[in-house]
Amino acid sequence: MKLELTLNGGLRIEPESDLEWDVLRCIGYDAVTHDLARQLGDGFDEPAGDWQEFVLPELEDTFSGQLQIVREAIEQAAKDDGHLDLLPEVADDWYGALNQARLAIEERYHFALGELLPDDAPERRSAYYRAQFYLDLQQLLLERVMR
Amino acid sequence: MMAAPETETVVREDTALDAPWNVVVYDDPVNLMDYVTRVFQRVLGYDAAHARHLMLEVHEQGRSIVWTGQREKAELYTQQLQAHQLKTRLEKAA
Repeated sequence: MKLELTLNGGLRIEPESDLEWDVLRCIGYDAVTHDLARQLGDGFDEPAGDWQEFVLPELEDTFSGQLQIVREAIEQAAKDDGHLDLLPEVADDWYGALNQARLAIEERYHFALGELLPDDAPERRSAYYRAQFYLDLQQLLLERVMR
Repeated sequence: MMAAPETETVVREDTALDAPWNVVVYDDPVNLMDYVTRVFQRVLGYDAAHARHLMLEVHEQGRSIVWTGQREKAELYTQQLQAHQLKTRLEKAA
């Protein structure tokens, strides 16, 4: 997969195989298992009722919207262009979707507590490398694309 | 003739409405330090040095009170920080 900065301030991603397109699609699959919005308000004290009624739906919309933008961009690019251009105007959405995916992976595998072990299952190893890839993308977006 | 009913006016102070609320951000294993700093600048309007100081407090102490004030504004800040995926709670100031 090639990553390069573009003259219009964006980041171009050029997958070089079907497998690499599938890795990108995993952003949505990883994130969708995570009920992030509800967890962000978990343990709220007094305003819990208001929070669940008014804030929670907005957070859920925001987070699902980020995933939708990323999914559609990937499918469109896979069909038409052969590359993805992450421009500054969508960088926040991409960053958010990648964050959701990393939060979901972390919740399931707890990589922050330690590195991979040689006898880790393939599923865990795969999740580890996806999380690293998402992290690299986030750092590039943060340093070079997001305003 | 009936005497006009007396109206008693009771003035009660309710300090709860004016009591300050804290916006508290908690550490998590995923959010990037530079991102958290940037969110504090963007949402709370802090300069880079203060935002970084608060980010380090979150990172090193597990939580930080990033803003204190009226409940309505505290709720707004809490919601905005949560929309940036920071684990944020609202609590009454001591």
